[in-house]
Amino acid sequence: LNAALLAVVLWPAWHGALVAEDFESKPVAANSQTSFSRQVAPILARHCVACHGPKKPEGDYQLHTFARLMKTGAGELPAIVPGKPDESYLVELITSDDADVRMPKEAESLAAADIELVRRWIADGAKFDGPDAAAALESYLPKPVHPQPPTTYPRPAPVTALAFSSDGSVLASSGYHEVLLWNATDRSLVRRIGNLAQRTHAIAFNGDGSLLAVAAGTPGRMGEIKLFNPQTGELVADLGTFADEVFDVEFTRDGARLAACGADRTIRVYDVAERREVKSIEAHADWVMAIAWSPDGTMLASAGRDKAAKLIDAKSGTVLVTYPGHDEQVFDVVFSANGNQVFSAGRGRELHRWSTDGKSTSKSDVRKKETGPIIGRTRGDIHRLVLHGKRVLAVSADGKLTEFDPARDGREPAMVYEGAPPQAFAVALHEKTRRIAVGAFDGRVTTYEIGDAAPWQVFIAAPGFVKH
Amino acid sequence: LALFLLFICRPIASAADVQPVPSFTADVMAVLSKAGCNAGTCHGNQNGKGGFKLSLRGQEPAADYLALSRDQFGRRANPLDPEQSLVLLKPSMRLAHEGGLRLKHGSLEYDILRRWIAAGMPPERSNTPRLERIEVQPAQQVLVSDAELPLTVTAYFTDGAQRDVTRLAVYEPSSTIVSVSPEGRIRFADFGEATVIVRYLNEQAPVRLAYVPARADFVWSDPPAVNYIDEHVFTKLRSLRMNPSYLAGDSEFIRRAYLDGLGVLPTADEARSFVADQSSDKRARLIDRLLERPEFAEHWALKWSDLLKNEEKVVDPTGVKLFHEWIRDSFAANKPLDRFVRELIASRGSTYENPPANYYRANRDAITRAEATAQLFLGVRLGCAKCHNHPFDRWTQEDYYRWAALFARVDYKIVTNNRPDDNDKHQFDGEQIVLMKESGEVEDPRTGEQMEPRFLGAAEVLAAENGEDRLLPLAAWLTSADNELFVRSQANRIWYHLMGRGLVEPIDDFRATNPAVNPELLDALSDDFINSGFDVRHLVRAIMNSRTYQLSAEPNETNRGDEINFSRSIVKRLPAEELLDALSAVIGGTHKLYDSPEGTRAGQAWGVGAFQRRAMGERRQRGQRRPMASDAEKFLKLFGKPPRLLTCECERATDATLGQAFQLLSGPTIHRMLTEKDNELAKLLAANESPAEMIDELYWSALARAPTNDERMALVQHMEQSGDWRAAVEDIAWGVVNSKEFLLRR
Repeated sequence: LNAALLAVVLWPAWHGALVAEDFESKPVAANSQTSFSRQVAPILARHCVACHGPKKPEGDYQLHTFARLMKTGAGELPAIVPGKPDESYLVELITSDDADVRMPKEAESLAAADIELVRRWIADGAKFDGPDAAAALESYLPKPVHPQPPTTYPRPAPVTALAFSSDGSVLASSGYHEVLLWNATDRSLVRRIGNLAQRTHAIAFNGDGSLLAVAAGTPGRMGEIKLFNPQTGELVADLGTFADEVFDVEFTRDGARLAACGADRTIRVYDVAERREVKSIEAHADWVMAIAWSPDGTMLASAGRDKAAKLIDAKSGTVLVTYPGHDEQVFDVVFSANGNQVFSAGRGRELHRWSTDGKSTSKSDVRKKETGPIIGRTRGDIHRLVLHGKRVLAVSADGKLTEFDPARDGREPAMVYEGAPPQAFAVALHEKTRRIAVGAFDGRVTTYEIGDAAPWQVFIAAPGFVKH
Repeated sequence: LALFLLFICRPIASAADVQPVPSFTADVMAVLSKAGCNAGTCHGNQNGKGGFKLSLRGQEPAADYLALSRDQFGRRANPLDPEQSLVLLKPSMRLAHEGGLRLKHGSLEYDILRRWIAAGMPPERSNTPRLERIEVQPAQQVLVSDAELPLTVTAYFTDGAQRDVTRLAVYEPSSTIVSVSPEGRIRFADFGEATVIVRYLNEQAPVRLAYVPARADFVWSDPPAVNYIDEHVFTKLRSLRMNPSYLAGDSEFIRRAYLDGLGVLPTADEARSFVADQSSDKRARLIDRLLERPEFAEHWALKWSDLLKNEEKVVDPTGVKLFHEWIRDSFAANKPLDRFVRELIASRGSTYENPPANYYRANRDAITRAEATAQLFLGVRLGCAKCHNHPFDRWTQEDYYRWAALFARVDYKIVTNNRPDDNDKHQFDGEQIVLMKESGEVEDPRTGEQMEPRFLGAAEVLAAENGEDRLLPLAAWLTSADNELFVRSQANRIWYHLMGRGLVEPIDDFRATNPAVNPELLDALSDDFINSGFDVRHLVRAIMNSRTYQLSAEPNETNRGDEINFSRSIVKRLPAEELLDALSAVIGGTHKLYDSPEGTRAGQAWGVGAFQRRAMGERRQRGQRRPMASDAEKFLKLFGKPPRLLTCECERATDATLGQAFQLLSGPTIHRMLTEKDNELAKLLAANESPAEMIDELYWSALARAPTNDERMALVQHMEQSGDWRAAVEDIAWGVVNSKEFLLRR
């Protein structure tokens, strides 16, 4: 009862905090200098880029970078005439009285304050004050102040990411606007790490346990990669802001580099010590759902919503292999322990194995029963894969965690871990402590002892949540 | 104090959420349809849009539930903070959305979705009552002075519950003259008729509406009704404040009756004596005479040969001739239409000895047979249900494959095949035996499950022992007088061929969402057809004797805007065969038409010349080119004669093209006919003394009337001034056959 009462008392306060999530720009005093990166870019990013972005530029106007904004589109009218808001096509469109002409299309007019900002910025000379005129607006937008996570959860958040700390003592799970660190044995809450976007899609500890990397995002709005000190919860570095969610993040074995990928279709490689991006790779035609480092840290494997899995040279960004065997979205990839093979799986409910030498598979070989690359099947979409020695575990939408042994004949599962709820989204495994954790949509984390098909512990990864 | 305020405020803040949690299937799915999210052009597309896929028009709520709540790691909905859900931010355009504004922030629809998310996106309980039907009030209405009308939609559920779903239903007007507000308020922008399809979840109902001018001075002309047809047509016209046109004159009538009944023009003598006849029952007697003429059967044999795909490439030249003869003889003998159809459906054996077996020879797999049979004999276009439940009708994919299973065991023994091109597997030349295998099933492609056969719309699967013939019970069920779709579609087909437009239009698209323009009349016609024992001549006689059929094509002040209520005769270009035969009757000339012997009219020819048969005994020669089509064959093609590859009336092109105009003005066929030495014009010159007599004769044979005085004087003058009477008559005939009056059926 006490917890329920507390939830009632605190809930409105928490709800109030969420209001800040509306990334509206703050009004500025009329005499102050306007800023493109802090004031105008947020308006464009929110209201224009979905239709006038890199994908399909409606009317040939693109607004996703400053350089593009200043180019003339199909209408042959310059969107911006510096110093002259009344001659700028952009202003004409956002202020039109004709609902058929006015932008944004089929929506309410922009707020008067926003329109005034755009006008004033143009009148001030339409100056660029960002880091790179060719960079996406999102990369230098003012960082949104993320709302506080709920003090007590009125309902659980889906568990979309799990990771064991290097020594296996801590299990990190995704929360709402936060990452939660739990004692892996008695499941007590160790720490809450906030200041994060809504959803966390991947969590990674580096080898010595000194850093915790988080891939997060607020759907349709932004994504981010942040490094924390797991001992203190302190933010160590903010590696970047993206147009939409970031889905995966992984350290190389030596912890020197970090790779991430997401809905902006890119794979990015970071130098961890210098905290800077060293490579941006565009190899997929749609969201990149997952990446994996080869054991030696030279290659990346990637899984795409474009139904492709790829092998990429991490240094040059060159695509070495495009594996053609998937007919559906690919959700995860892992390397075999020796690095010679890649396992990939997704909506197709099949575990594929292909070799890194590029010789493995032609499309026609895929369906061959005995010699083909499909080494296992599940009854639900495969959301995540994890390696266990020479074996691969696949967590699927039917709540099963299925262990496949690529060396085994017959392609039957080596074993099936039962008892996790349906829509299991995340899995983590720690060899030394022999623990497996599976996270699901309903907020439950189901843990197992390696080799024992029945759950060891089940708990809801939502602080303060009380089931009614 | 803050704590105190929180306690006070909390209940007030939550008052709005006291409303019951929306039901996923009854409310949320309705919102997705109402906002258009699951339309075929948006997320209902086969591949979805922007990575988000919903089932087309909400046919699969279970899949949509997962797509909304779980897909892409639960990205789209946010129960922890509902307003931040992507599925609310995007359609309300608070976050840019390519599909534009679909849900206004704070609207009822928005609120349903928000409250459902806030409640944790509860799935539907398995014992939730299902929607049984919807009822729309009013179901039909003529609006006279007020252009607006509110509709009320009530949903009935299997547990007996009723619910007003006016606000959640989707409204789809058939015409741009009507718009419907989200609250179900109809508004006409112009006078006219329209149907609004009302859809709630998987149920649809049509509302028939008309908006007519008040016409304060309207006086019903009270025309006498000859039979039940007139009563129903006039009742509707009167409600629309519309008078039918006056009765057509004798010349207009006899030309129309010959063309519609026989496909030919009356001769000059027939027309003259009919017009001269002073008796009051002369039209009825003429109709009786026409029904006994051989051209009547030939005319219907042409129509059915088109629909039954009687073409040479598959059925082969011998088969085409035999099949055509069988159809023609069936109509000549006045075979009841139900028996005619039964013989086609139950047919088997040699395609040469038992010609109706060519129905199956022409439709070579279960799917094709199933779709053809539904379209021809039930007036149902089933094709949509092959890949997904029919969006505008009640047919599901299960219905489709169970229906197809009825035809799964038809097989062929190919006795001989002399096809000239061995590479073309769709070509046959030689006898075939249609037979019934002991096994053979149709699988549902989604599940791989073998489908037990079931009649379309029947509740139970066909209880037949394994190996028992499925087509015999099908033939009996299909042609039963209790089979409403059969009776109506066939009565409507006959009406269409005489009136130029179906009561249901298109005539092979019967569905709840495409109601008849005059349902009471279609019912009455169907009853009459049943009571007559499916007697085609009886129904043709009833229609042709009605005043409705005999109305002039000339509009009056009140019916000028009407195209669909038969308030006046429909003007149409003569179909290809009728046009060529009419030209031949007036000008003369003989044609080479496919395999037919010389002198065969286009309306009598059995084939379409899909491939030319080699002479008997001739050795097979590869690469042999087909003979060129004759100019008359090209003429027929240009004017829309169908190649008979589809079981659809729509295969016949009825439009007018520039090419047709050129063909009539200066084409090779018309030129050859006019200049042929021993043509009708030569006979005209030989048989008549004076130019006036010649011109009179020409007018009667082409237009079933005498020339007016002005016409006669001008043309006589033209002939007298010309030194060459033959050339002058050719000019005059050319002019007459290029007139609208000649080219159109009025």
